[in-house]
Amino acid sequence: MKKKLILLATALIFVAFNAFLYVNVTRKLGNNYSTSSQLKMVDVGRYLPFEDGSELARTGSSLHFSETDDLPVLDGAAALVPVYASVIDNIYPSGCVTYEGGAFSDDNLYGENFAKDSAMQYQNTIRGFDATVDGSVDLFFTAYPSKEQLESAAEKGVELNIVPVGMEAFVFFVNTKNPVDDLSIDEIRGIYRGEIKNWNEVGGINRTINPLLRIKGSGSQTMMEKFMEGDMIEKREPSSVFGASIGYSFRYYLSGMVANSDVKMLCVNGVYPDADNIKNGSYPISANFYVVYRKDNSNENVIKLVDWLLSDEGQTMIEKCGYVGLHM
Amino acid sequence: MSDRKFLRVLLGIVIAGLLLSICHVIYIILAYPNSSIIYYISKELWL
Repeated sequence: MKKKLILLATALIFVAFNAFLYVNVTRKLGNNYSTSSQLKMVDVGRYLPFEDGSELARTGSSLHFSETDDLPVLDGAAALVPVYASVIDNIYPSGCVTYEGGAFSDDNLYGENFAKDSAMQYQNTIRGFDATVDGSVDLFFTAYPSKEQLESAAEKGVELNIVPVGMEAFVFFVNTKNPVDDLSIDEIRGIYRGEIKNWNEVGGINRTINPLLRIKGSGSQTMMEKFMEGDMIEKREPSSVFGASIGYSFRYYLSGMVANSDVKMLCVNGVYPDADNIKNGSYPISANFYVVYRKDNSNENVIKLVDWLLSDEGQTMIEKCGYVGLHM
Repeated sequence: MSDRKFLRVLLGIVIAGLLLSICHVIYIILAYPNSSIIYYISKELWL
């Protein structure tokens, strides 16, 4: 009997250890260890041009391309898929978005199955930017490129035009049950510099803060590095893995595209990041988003598209997508 | 249960438990740095 109890107790120790890890960490890992799965982070199927029921801003346009035009290939960051998909839907001829095998699918490790000759691509920030530099993408929708991306383009002798076309807020978020609703800029910087380590130092409960980072080169990570002025922790701290986390993203990606009801955006310096507060400038961490294209791109329709995006029609479409226009 | 059998079973449980735990920890080490921030925070436990 005693021996059986020892065996049972031994087994239970391992079960309890693994159950603890599962409940506190493993259960919260939303993807596998491959970075490709983090790149595949938006349901592009909701934003396909020319499809009934797509969640696009169908605002119309006085600019139209025909099948015989040299159609610029568009790509962009996950958060900006609705914008450039709406551009295609409003301006491009139907049939210009094509898929390997004939029908849309995102059921593969590396993402969606846009055909090589499709006017719409989705490679997200890192691969899409490289494709723009290499010339296989004409117009890339993104947050401001990272220093490394700009250096990479310069090393290849490629000059880029980077044109702001809209505004967006950079937001911080926590679990909805976290009692903290507001942080100051200094508090956020203190957290991400490792100086503030417990939520009770910023008006919350006594629980370790787990500041989460994104992968290098992603739009939100580049924005975060800029916000932190180059002085921040460099990786997720294993020692705070059991704490309560804080993360960052762009407003519309978080609240409009992912729309996870279990997280909430925080006020910064007492101001909530809604469209009005971005427009009137009271939300303190607003940023432009951009279109990037090669200066030597000879496709005249690229310039026409950029001009259209900056026109009232283009800005109306951007607002309808859920973002904030530059001059609306 | 004889002492010999007890030790064998105990060793089996310890080896199986250690293997499971090591694999679990390795998975966490590999997956955690690249996991989705939004998903991770949304799944937090709050009492």
